[in-house]
Amino acid sequence: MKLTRRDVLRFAGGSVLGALFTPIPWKLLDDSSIWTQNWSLIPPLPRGPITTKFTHCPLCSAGCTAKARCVNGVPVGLSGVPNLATRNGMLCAVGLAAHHVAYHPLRLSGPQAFTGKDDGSVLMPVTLDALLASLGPKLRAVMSSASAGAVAVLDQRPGRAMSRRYQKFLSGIPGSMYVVSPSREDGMLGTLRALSGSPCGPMGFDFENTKTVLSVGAPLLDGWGVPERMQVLFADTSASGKTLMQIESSQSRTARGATTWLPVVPGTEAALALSFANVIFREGLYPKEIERTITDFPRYRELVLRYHPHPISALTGVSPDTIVDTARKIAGSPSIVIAGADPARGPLEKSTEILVAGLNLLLGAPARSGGITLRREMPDVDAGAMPETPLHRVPDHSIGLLIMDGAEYGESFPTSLLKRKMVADGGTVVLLSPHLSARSASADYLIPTPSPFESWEEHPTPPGAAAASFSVSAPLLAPRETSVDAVRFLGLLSEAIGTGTEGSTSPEAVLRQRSDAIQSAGRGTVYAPDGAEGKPVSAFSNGDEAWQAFLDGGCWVDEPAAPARSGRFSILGTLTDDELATAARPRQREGAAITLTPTGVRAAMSSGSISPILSKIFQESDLRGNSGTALINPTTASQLGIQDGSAAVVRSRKGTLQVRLMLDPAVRPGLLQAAVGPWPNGTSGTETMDNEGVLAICEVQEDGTWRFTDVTIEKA
Amino acid sequence: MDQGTQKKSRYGMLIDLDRCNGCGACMVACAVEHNVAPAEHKATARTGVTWLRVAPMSNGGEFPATDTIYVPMPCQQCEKDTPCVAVCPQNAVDVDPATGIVGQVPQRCLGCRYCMTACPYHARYFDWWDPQWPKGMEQALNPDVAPRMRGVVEKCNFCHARLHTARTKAAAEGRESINPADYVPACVEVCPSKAIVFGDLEDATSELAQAVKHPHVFRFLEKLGTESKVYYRSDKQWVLDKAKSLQTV
Repeated sequence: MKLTRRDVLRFAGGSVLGALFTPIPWKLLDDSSIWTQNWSLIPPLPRGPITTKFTHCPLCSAGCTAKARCVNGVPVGLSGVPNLATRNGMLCAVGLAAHHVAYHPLRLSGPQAFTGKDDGSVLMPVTLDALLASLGPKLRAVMSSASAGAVAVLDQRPGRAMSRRYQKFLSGIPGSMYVVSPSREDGMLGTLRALSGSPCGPMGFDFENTKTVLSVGAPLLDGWGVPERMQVLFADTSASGKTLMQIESSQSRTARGATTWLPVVPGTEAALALSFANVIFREGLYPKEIERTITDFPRYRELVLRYHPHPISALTGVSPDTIVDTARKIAGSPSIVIAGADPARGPLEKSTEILVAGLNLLLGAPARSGGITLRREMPDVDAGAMPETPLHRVPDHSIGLLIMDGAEYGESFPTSLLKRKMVADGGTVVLLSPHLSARSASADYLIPTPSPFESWEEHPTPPGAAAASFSVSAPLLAPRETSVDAVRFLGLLSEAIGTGTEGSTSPEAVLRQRSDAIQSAGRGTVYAPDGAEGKPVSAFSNGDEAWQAFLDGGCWVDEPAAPARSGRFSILGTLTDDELATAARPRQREGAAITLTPTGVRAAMSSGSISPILSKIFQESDLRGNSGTALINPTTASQLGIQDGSAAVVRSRKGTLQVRLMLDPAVRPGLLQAAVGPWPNGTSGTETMDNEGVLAICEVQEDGTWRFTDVTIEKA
Repeated sequence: MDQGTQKKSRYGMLIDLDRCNGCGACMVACAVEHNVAPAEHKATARTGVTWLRVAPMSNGGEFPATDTIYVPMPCQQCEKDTPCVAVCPQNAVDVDPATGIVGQVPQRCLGCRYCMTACPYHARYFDWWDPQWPKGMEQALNPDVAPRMRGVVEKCNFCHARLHTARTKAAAEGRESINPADYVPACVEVCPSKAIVFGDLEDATSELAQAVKHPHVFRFLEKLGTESKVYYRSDKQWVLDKAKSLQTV
């Protein structure tokens, strides 16, 4: 048999064809696929003893109780503690990944300083000694000259023992100011206190015993207060028997979950509040004793009677029948009316806040079950707290040196607001923060504080709580060597300016002092996190026992304040006739194309203070937008010729911003809702600092609010 | 295959869309539980990895007559003619006859993504990038779940590691069946509005088996006949109508 070249070719061809029907090529394909996978990048999993430890989430003011699952003592997972009497124990999306924050790539590696903020200089690492040597003279200069502005501390989590340390530090400096966040969720309670004719203690909302809550824009079902507490009470109102009515210009998550949503024209909330009052007056639905306890009752009545539901309906977009029904509902049962600061949009205008708060006075809510409760003061070591001034109420150009604590603990505000409060030359800003953030660009000095779970954290009374409470989180991770806690920094700064170190020199000792104060006061109950029955503080024989209970994850809840008759109030406060005349005006001006309003969820505003896993959720789904995305009504988008997902440039008088537009019929036509944060993963520190996103183009009004800005939109 | 420590089960879940408020806690808990890496800078909704994705669904009404619900969409755990199983050339997908859970074996997966194409629910995700965590964060990973490598497909498996833990506990205590309270997926555990009920559909006394009988309970793309084991409920008529008319999710 002769072997020809044709035979060889046929054999080869047949072999190739036959091989396709064997596993060989598929196995090769498989192996090639596996070999190109980079196994070296798969990290080894943590190994070691698995333990659990009760703690509290340190990422926002709610301080929810959590159970940390640890390997070798390092937390690898957090879970809530359901059915807890105190902090209600289920964690939100932000808190579930709180144990990652310590590893965030934008963590500060050491103290940093700008040589000049406005000359394009970059951050330079400095030693702590050098930083203090530079900062000390500046602080002394501000202290010694009235024209150099005041020394101020911006504390975004007031009420802590550390807050008292700041106040003590400031009390030794004439003219100093203790400043708090402009977006405090329970800021309306501060307004009510200011309306009181006589000094009164802290207040809270008696949500448990109320029947009806009328919320003016407060995100009650989207991270407000203690989120799980609000979910239990108001997410399933058929079970709780309560009614939640939400007044908001767009259909937010809270508006969706509420019993009733009143879609109001932006900026007309004050008119709506006055119209509710009008119905209550005309139908005599208010308790008659308030005619004696409200000092400016005749003036208020004269004002309110001008706001009949029919003309106000045209202004607010809410039908007259709805106005009447709503007014009757809040007057017919124990009710609370909340004027809500929003973590992104900030506070309501002063006049709106006062007029909404006034509805509570009209309904006789203060000191009434199911209304506004009077809380006892937290037992404390240092008496004589300084008055709190929200940042937006600080006089313009009055701060010469500002120490910002904790940077972004939940809420955000425009840098332009901060700049307006600083003296003309910009003054000096010191930022204590574990991470770089948009706020870092405002600072002259950056002090790297320990990250959450590396530091001793304290969780004082959450916003709006009816009774005072206190819990502690002991560190679960070792702090970095370069970290400087706030107590130590304040001590070093005191030494640098020659005022000496006062009191405790460690965060643990500061918290221990508060624990001792609670134990000495002997009132209230400490609840263990395992759901066991609470132990009265009076049953602790000494401070060590009480401190151990806190270290074990216990939470102290104060006794309710003794029932007290409501005092005298001014319902209109300091509002002038001119302010009242302009209070009820629509914010969406006729002719203005688009009104921009920032949005965001508490504790997820920045790129630094949340887990990269949470940023991922924002980035890889349509659940919520991250920085650089904005929601717009489809009708408005159609008028502008904009498609879903397209890029656009938003222009205001403050600047321009490129965004990706997403269509959402729940957004009011004419509004543009742009997310404040978080930044997508991988955003560098420089990017984070150079661009504060939508807040950079928000206009800060005369009264320091920034809820609405007129903008134009063009296709990018 | 039945491990001998439990009876045959058919695990499933019911998600109450009227209770879900789109908070995202389930998505975060799922990613933490399964060691899903942080997003690559360029990752989008199309290229990212979210075993459980919550998507808004609108009634299409004009403002203010608009209504939106949030739809958590994990793997639907199809039981009959499971599309991803049928197309996988590597036997990297299987349906556990003892539990009904559709499993994914990343070591077998060659990354052809046929299964992603076949999945009518778009509930499978491809690892386009090497999984990378910020420095130090690897020590915060869940020790019970191995991270996957680039080039493979991954998806929800009803927290299979938790099932193993529950089985181990049952075996250690001399029980044949697991205690239902010991096997709760991460998304169910963390849901603050208690919108998800998980359990054994085979157990007629379970809360789930009772709950899925409600007339307002439905499954997405039911007409495909894949007998998915993830049920949804809504009392809103527009949701029921829309779910019935959907051609794709």
